[in-house]
Amino acid sequence: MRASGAQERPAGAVALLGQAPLRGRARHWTINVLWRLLREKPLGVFGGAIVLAMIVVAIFAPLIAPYPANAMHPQSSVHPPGAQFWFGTDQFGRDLFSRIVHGSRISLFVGFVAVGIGASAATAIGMLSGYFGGKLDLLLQRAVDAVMSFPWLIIVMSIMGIVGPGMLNVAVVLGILTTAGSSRVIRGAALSVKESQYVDAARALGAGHGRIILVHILPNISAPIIIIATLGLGTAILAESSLSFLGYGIPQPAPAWGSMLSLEGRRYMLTAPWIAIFPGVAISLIVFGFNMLGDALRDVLDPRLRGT
Amino acid sequence: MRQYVARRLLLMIPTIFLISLLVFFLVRLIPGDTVMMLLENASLGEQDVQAYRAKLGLDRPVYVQYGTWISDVLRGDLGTSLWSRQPIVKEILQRLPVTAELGAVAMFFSLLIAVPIGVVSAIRQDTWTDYVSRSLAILGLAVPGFWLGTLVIVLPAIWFGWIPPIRYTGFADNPWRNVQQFLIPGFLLGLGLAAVVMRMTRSMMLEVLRQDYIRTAWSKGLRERGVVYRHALKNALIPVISILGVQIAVIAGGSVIFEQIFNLPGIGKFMYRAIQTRDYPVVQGVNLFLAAVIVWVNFLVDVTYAYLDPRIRFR
Repeated sequence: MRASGAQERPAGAVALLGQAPLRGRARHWTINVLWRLLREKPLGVFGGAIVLAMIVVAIFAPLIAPYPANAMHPQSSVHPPGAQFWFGTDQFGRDLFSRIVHGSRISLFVGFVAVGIGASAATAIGMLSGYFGGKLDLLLQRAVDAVMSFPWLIIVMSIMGIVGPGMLNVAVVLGILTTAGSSRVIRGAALSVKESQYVDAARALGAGHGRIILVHILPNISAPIIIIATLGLGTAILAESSLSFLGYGIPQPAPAWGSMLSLEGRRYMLTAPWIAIFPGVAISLIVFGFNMLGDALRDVLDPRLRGT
Repeated sequence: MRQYVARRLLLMIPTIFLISLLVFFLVRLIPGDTVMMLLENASLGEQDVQAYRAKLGLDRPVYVQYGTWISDVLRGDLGTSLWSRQPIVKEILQRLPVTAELGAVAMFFSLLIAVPIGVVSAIRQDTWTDYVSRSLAILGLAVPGFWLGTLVIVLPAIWFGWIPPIRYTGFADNPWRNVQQFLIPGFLLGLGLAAVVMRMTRSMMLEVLRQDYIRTAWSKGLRERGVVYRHALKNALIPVISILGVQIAVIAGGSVIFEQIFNLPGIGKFMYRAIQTRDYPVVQGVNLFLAAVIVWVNFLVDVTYAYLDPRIRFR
């Protein structure tokens, strides 16, 4: 008969089953990771600084931007960059600097919501697939194969064409579609953790599947989850800007960076190149920041994931 | 090898089945009445709704609808465009050469840029050359292609009064002009691909350079060029082909952006217009076609890889 229930477990089992002071260990682990990043990965720290700066800009956007995002100055349309309008103005006389500052909120919102959905779903699917294996794994992996076979921009555009543009729609669709690729990495990590001795020990002590997955596997695959989330943020922001550029992301007049570069504005760009330059710099900078940070985190947390 | 190919082919069946289900239900995501939405742009009156519903088979149970649709697809019939009234397969095949040419030019540039940089980065690991190359690769992944495309049109027009050719010329009409047209979009699309190939080449080269046979080559007194190009690079490039399937997906996605910016009449532009005009049979057909191509390319890549590297077959 299978031993179950806390009373029947030997004293050491409590610690083995993960009820040790986890919070203290987690804090120590975080400090250790940050210290290694600072010491070994200057480029990653640089990326992190860009990301942090963008988050600060997004939080304090109304205080930093000199004008509201959609405030028009008709007498100053297509005004070149200068003291009054740092990045110049667009065809409607809207201050580009203010729009870019406010636009950071859109990019980060889409990024974080998409990654929140994508990473959570990927973790659930990857862990179930890796832990249980067998037919469930076979079925889930074929579904992952199927989703990954679509060219992402085309399928995202198709879905956005059907469900309609909007900030939440973009974030949800991107989140769902990034789940497949990420779940494969999580599955790989879950597969290797599943074979560990501490999982065998927990099983021998009577822990059920739910407990093993949540208490033993999940904390030990946090490294790939963090890496996927960081790199995924850059990917989601880039994807949103591409969609907005094509007119299937965030509709005008919201100050999404991609829609500022849309094809409609091209004829103004031919006389006012600043309209074409600054939003692109903003997109590149934030995606570069997330990618640099994600790369560095991967090297520090789990070098085996190089090339994924 | 035969066993591996058979196993790989068998695994393709459920994947393709699931792809077909996803594509089939894609159009059923449309909120409200699909037929009303379809007719809205097909300039037909409301009195045709019931007839149209029956014609499309939408009055029958969903599984029957799927069965009819998939049996048509298996016979090579992806349906008819609501806009042009032409068979979708014909429309796709007409535009495929344009997208294929764009993809080929992009692949050419990506390999031309990525392989030498990846090799030098690996040989000079942890030097400034390596840091700069890796940062450039990350930058290549961060810079949006549509932004570069816009800058290439806007900046030369302002500085030199020159605009890249944006009126499409067929290869048969003027081969040189045709190739010229693909150089800039192909190069820009290739830059995005190059970042991935460069990173892959670098990590594979690093792995191969640590192998015993490379040490043997050095100890024989071979020159650096011989060791790197004759011994290491050949083996390091084998895994690089494994990302070909992913690259095809990136090219298909990028084709929407670059064909739109540079006015190339390929599948990407066709798809963009189809989504804009709510030509849902085309949306369905193109998605299914591209996904099937990618599954097939992935299969070919896996089989080639297994042939070149026998360890794969026994995993």
